[in-house]
This record gives sequence, structure tokens and C-alpha cells, in this order.
Amino acid sequence: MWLRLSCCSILFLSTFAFAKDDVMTPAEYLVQEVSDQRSEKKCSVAIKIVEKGTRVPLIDVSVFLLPDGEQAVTGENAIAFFSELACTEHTWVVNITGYKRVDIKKQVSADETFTVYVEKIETAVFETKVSDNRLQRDGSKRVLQQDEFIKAVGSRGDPVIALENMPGFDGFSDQGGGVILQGADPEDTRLYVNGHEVPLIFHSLGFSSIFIPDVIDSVDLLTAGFGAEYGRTTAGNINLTTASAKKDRLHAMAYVDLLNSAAVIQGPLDEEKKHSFWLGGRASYIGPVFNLVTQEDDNISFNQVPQFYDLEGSYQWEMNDRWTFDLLGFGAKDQLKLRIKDSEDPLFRGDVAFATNFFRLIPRLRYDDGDQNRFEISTAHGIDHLDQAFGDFFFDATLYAPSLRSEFEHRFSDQFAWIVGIDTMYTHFKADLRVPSGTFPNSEDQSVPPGLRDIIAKQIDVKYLDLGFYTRINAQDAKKRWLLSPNLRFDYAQLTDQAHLSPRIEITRTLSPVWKVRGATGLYYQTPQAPEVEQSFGNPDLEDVRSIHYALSAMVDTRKNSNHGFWGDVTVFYKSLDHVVIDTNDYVTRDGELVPERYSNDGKGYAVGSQWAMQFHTNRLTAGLAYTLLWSRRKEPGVGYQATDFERRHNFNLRARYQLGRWELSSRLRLISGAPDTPIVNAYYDLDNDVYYPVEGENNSQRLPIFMQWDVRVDRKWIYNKWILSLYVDILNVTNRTNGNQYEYEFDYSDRTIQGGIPILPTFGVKGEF
Amino acid sequence: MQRRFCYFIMLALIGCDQVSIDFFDLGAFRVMALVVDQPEVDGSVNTTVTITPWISDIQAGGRSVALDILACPDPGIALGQEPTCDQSLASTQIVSYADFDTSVWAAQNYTGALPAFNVMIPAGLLVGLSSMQQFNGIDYIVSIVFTVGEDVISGFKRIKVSSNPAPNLNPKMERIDVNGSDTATAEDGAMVTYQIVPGFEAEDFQRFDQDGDLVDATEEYIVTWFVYSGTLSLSRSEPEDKAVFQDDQDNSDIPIIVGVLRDGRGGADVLVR
Repeated sequence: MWLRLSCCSILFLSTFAFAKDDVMTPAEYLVQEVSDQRSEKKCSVAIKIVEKGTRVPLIDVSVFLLPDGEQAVTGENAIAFFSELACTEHTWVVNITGYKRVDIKKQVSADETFTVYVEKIETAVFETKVSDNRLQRDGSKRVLQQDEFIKAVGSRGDPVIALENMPGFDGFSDQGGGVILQGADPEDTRLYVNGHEVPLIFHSLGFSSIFIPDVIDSVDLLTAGFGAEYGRTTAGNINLTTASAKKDRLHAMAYVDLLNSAAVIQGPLDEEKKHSFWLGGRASYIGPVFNLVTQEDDNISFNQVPQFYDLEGSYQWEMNDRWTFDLLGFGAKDQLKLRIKDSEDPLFRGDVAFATNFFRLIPRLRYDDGDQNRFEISTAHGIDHLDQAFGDFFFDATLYAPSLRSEFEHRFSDQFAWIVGIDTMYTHFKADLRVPSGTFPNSEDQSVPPGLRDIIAKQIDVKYLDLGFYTRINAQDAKKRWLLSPNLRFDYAQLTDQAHLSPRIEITRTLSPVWKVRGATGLYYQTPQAPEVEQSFGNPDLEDVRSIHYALSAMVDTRKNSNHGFWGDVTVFYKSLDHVVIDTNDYVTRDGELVPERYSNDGKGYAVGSQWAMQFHTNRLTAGLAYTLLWSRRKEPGVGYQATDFERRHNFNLRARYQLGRWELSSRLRLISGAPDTPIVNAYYDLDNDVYYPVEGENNSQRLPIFMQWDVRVDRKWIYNKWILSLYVDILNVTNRTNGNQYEYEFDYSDRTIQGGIPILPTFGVKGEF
Repeated sequence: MQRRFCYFIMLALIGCDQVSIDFFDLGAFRVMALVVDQPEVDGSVNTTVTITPWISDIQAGGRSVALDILACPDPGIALGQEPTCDQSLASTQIVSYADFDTSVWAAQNYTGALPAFNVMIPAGLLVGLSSMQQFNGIDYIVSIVFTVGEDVISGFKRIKVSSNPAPNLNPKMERIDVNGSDTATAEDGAMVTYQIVPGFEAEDFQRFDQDGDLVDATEEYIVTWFVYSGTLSLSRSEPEDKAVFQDDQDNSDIPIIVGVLRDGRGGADVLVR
């Protein structure tokens, strides 16, 4: 500025000095030269456009320079470049569809680079859905993506709890770890992580699944008519698929809520971003909550409050454009210790200890040429420990169960593909136990007070192999109206020494761009539980349970290639079961000796019903409805069909979510028929053991009261340039209704009250991420 | 899968709940114990045992108690059979019993031992069983239905029938101490402790386990406490435990404490304090 002033002064004076003459002096010429050069200096500006909060670079977006409207488009590096600009003040505008307009006014005096953060308009989440060109398989599968289950009302962000909103998912068993699908026993459902079976998918104390929600990409629910990729079960499967690490930059997330806290870190490990990782951990503090709830109960005191932990991590390596390798590791631990001073059964007093911990390592190698061939192989290794003790009773078990899953797919064309795979696992189970007889499932002794049962003290060491192979053909006509998918599974169960071929088939007919119908049927086998075939307290001659599935569905989807619109489906299903394992008092001759049979395959059963699922999504509103109508029955020789313990005739779920700027309001209403219950019609006082011996009426002949629960959730987000803060309040059972899950009887069974269920439960959480 | 059944174990093991056991508060009609003079008998001979029922009927005392008594071999209670006897079977005994009027117990607040009755346990019940099964024994049950006015209580008792040369004996309570003394009493408003004094230690015994091994074991004594006109901190205890008693200040009646000592093998003893 000073130079300019000096030059102007000199120039001005020179004008007067040389007014009579137009010729410039050398000094004047020099000044004029500098001034001319100065007025010609140019500057370059590089503007990086990044989404506010997530810092996602935005490519192929236009940046306009005002007032001329000169345009530059961001490239792969999200930078819009303006060159040859006058080194003065300029104004740019960024106006991207779905984002708030940003005007930038900046004085440019030299080449420079700066970043502009543009805020997404939450309501304008019109997303284009990219369809995989691979033929879809297993139409029975329902999938919840991460963004769906994290915000599902009543789920506390948990992927497994969020399945409550799916038809066919009937809830969790009282054991707090098992899930009930289409009225089936939790033992009939298999739980998987990335295709490998795990002992539990839920922390035993029942408050959350074993993974931090942010590391799960999706959760699959497979029910009636599922494909040959899964076996060894007659009911269904749940599979958690872990997420791939974000590779653009380092990310981190941490949250704190009333029950637990967790953190996840992820990102690239090298500049080329061939190597990436995520690592997370979670710890609970529900113990103090438990302590608070039970502190007025003189009968219970905690020696160690309930706690759970989980730790998970993943490493990924993009070896080249076809091969990838990843290694997943995860583990969970649950424990509690308490003392029961007095109870209805005098044998059940004393110290109670419960601890489970397990871990898995799953390396996986994948190949995809992007054209015709895809291959994948993975193994799972780990150890499970379970230690339970109650007074003089105990059960200590160790399980080692490595598994192998591999699949090859060859696409002959867009209409024809062939898939072949392996799904095999080996089990080595060791246990040291001292328990009352009838502790095991299906045992009639379960109706006998534990203090009256025989005591079983034993050490168990069992090894067995479960072999599984499958193949599938996906064939579609040229007009893509018909999709025919026959599939076949072979299983060999060493525990029962039985081999099975399980043919299955699925046919889908596309009636229009909006409507489809699908039919599926197949054969399914399930091995009895190991205690049921154990030599000393089971029946080693048991056979596998068999089931035939039939499912017919109609599907409508008006969304086309977006996420706005209406979609839904209705399914009618029927499952028949035979060779069902039941308890028996008969005697059989085994190895020349007359012995109690204990269990037999004389049971039969069926499950029939209908499932409805509908969802509607607009800019601001998402609404969904799920309804299941169900009969689930079992039959024993001499006894007619009776409801199973898990038959809930009607299961109705209505939910809605509304977005208002940075606020999100959601609500859910669940109405579920009461579970079957067996009444106590009489009771005898056992004067030797000082306990009442109940006499049950007809099995499952009465119902518990209807379950009704209304949940409400509020989410609020604050988006800063480089990070996001979220707050949520989730209130379960807003009406504080008593939704008992069992009757609690007086000591002498003279009266009863309904027990169980959660009271109104407000939870809130805070989450930060970048 | 085995790993999944483990969680059923947990549920089965924890068969308890948090319901307070009001049953042990005396007032309404209660059957407290059946004491048999021989908890275990020789299966090779006919044996007559004498059974003494202990009851309490404080609030409506002075009523007539009727007993319907049946005796038979164990129908399979541990396997889920109803613990009663089928009267149509020849193996079932019907024992007659004259109704008892509890008005004679007015001075003891209608709490005490009913007149005893006899049951004959026939020989031959062990025939056909293995030597191990004979040694461990089988149960012969006595099923009783107590009827007092509209109150009906069904109960049963087992008598072990075996070839064990050292049959089980009843445990014995010497006394119930109050604050460690056999002469002290519970005073109004006071908090005192009750503790039994066993006459002898729990018995050692032998039995064959499921693998056919003869193993040694020791009885575990459990005391059940019944209480009237006050509260006890424990409904059940081990002999060394002290149950803390708090008198009911709203009730001017004299407190009654009844201790029932059981050995876990059918033996029992009763004391009223």
C-alpha cells in the first residue's frame, strides 16, 4: 500500500513536473512498469468441499465464482480449482442439492487452499439405491442395515433387539440370551457372526448383543424356507455381518449411556489405504443398577455385581483389485456373584456364581473378479467357558468349536449362476457338573421341584463333527420375470451318526416392476441336544429332528431405485416337524440291559402362520408395521396337539419416526398375545424336604395377560465442522404397564401374582464421533 | 447345542424367587411336620412304623381335624408322578384315623402333635432290584389329606425301604435356646435370637452313586422355623445359624416358635418353644 502511495505521489508530482512535456523520466518509467506488473498478478484458489460433521469429501459438485458464474467442479480429491484469479476479494457459492447453500467471501492475496464445510439437509435424504447386479438369493432373509437398527425405537441401538420390529421375531426367552423365531424353542435357532456359529449373540444378562452397534453392518433374519447356506436347525437363523473399516481417514466414536459405555476407532493404516482396521470395546455398569433394585431384598446380596464386557477388532487388507483378506476378532465376558439367604426351596440357598466368556478369531480370504467368479473361505477359532455354581450344585464347561465356511460362485451370465459351499464345524465339549436331574431341556423332571430330583454328578468329554455341504443354482429367464433357485444341502452329524440330504427350492415371479411373488419349500434337520444323547442321562439312540418348510410370499416395492415410497410383504408359512425329542418313562433294552429310555423321537409338531411387514418412507416420515399370526403346536403319543411354550397368537408392532430438522422423534407400540402357561391345579406338601410339590394342569392350557408396551425415543444431533454430537432419550414402557412373563405362586401355591417384565425404563445416551 | 443347554442349567439351578415365605407365619391352619419313628426300614421283613403329625391352628383353634391316609410304594414322584396313592391298586393301604378335636390344646394355642398312627410296610418291595438299588433303597410313601373346616392341606412323607445294615435314624433337638439360654424367653418388644441345639451331629452314611461306586456322605441338617406373633429373620437355617425374632407389638399373644429339624433323608424332629 505504501509502495502504491509512493508511486502515485511520484506519478502525480511527475505530472506537474513534466506537464509541458509527455516524455517520462526513467524513474517515472520504472514506477509505471512496477504498477503495470502489479495490476497483472494472478492468484490460484483451491477449495475443498467437505460434508460438515462427517467430513466426507464431496466430489463432482460445482462451485461458482460470482458474479461471473465461473464454475469449477470438485475432482476425486473434492477440490475445485480456480486459477488466474485477480488477487482481490472474491465470492463463491456452493449450492448442492440436499445441502444448505454456502456463500464464501474471501480476500485472496496469494495462492491458497481452504476447506468449506457444507451441512446436509437431514430431511432431504433422497438416496439412490444401487442394486447389486448379482441375482438375489434366499428371499426368506430380512435385513436390517446399520442406519435402521441404530435408530430403531426401543432397541437402544442394538442390532438384535431391533429385530423385535421384524415379523417372525417373537422376542427373547427368559434365559436372556435365546431368541424365539416363529414360535420355536430358542434351541432351534442358530446364531452366526459372518457366517460362523457362535454360542451366544447376546450378553447373558440380556441387555445387549455382544457387539458395539457401530461395528455391525447389518443383521440378517432367516425364517421359514431359508436356503441351503444354513443348516442344523429347524427354526431359523440370525447372522450379524461386521462392517468394513472406513478408509478415507481416521474415525472415532464414543458413547455413554445409563447401562454401558463404548468406543470405536477405525481408519487406514497406510497411505495407499490398502490396510485398514477398526477396534472397539465396551464395558457395562448395570451392576450398580441391579444393586439398587435388589438392595431392599434381604434375601439377595451381591458379592460381585453383574458386569459384562466385549472387545472386538478387525484388520482388512486389499491385496489387489480382486483379493482381500480380513481378520475379525471378538470376545465377550459376563459375570455375577450373589448370595441367596433364603428361598422357597431350602436347597436353593447359598452363593450363586455365573460367568461366561468366549472369544473368536475369524480370518477370511475373498476373491471377486467383478465378472463371473467369486470365492470366499473363512475359519473361526475360539474357546467358550461357562462356569455356574449354586450352593453345592455347579456346572463348569469348556467348548472348543472351530468352524469352516467357504463358498464359490460362478456366474455364467446375468441370468444363471451356480454356487457351491462348505459349512462345517467341530465341537469338543468338556464339562464337570453336579446338577439336579431334569435340568436339561424337554425333561419331564422340570415340573418336579429341584430339591426332589436325583442328583447327577458327572464329567463329560465329547467330541463330534458336523459336516455340511451345499449347492445352489440361480436361474433367471431372459426377461427376468422368473427366478428359479433349487438348492441342496448335505449334512452329517457325528453325534447321532446320521447323514441327510436336504433339498430346497425357491421360485420368484416378478409380476411387475412393483409386485413379486415367491414360493419356497425345503427339508431341514436338526441334531438333538448333546445331553439328550448322552449315555448316562440321555438316549444315545436318538435320531435327528426333521422339518419341512413351506412359505408363500407376495412382495410390493414402489420405491424403484430410491429409499422413498412404500414397500411391504406378506408371507404365509407352514412347518411340519417329526422325530421331535420328548421325555419318556419307557424302558428299553440297550446292550443287553433293561434301562430307562429317558428320551424318544416320538414327538410331532407344526407351526403355521402369516407374517405382514410394511414400511413407508418420505422426506421426514418413516412408518412401519409388522404383524405375525402364529400357531405353534407339539404332540406326544397319547396326547393331542398342545401349544408350545412360545406360541404367541398375535404379535403386532407399529412404529413411526419423524424428522424435524436436527430432531428426530420416534415411537413404537407393541401388542403381543399372552404366552401359554400351565396352571397349577393342586399342590402337595413334601414333609421330608419342606417344599411344596405342584401338580400341573393341562399343558399350556391358559394364557398370560396380553403384552402391551409403548416406547418413545427422541434424538438430537449437533453437527460441527469436524465432528458430530448426538443425544438420545429412549423411554421403554412409557405407560409403566406390568407385562408379566410368568406367574409367581405363593409357597403353598394357594395364590399367585404376575411377575416379570420391565417397568418404565428411561435411558439416555450421549455419542460423539468424527 | 451343548453350549446352549448350559443356560437352561442356569435357569434350573436358580429356581428361587424373591417372594417372602408367609407360609411359615402361624395363624391359619398349618401342617408342620410328619415324624416317623423309623425313617428307614429293612425291606426283607414286614415293619410297622408310627407316624406323628404336627399341626397348628391358632386363629380358628378348637376345630376338628380329619385325616385321610393312604400308603403305597413311590409311584415315581421324582419322575413327575403325582405324590399320592391310587386307591384302586391292591398295593395301596387305607389307614383309618379318628377325627381329632384341637380344643384340648387351648392352653398350648392349638399347636402340637396329633395322635400317632401306624403304617405297615410290607416285605418284598426290594425283590427284583439290583443289590445297589436295594442298598440305596426305594421310597414307601404315606399320603395324607388334612381337612379342617374349609382348609385342606395335602402332604406326603417318604419312608426308605432298603437293605442298608445302618438305616437312617431321626435327628434329635435337645432344645431351642433363646439368646443362647434354655431358660430365657422372648419378652414383648425385645429382639432375641433362636438357635437349636442338636442332640447329636449329622450322621455319616454311604450310598451307591450313578457309576456304581460306594461313596461316603454326611447328612445336612436344615431347620425350618414357624413363628407366631412376631417375625423371624430366617424361615430356614442351618443349626449354627441364629434366627432373630422381633415380637409383634400389635399382638398381645404369647409368641410361639416351632423348630423342625430335618436331616435330608426323611428323618425329622420337632420342638415347640
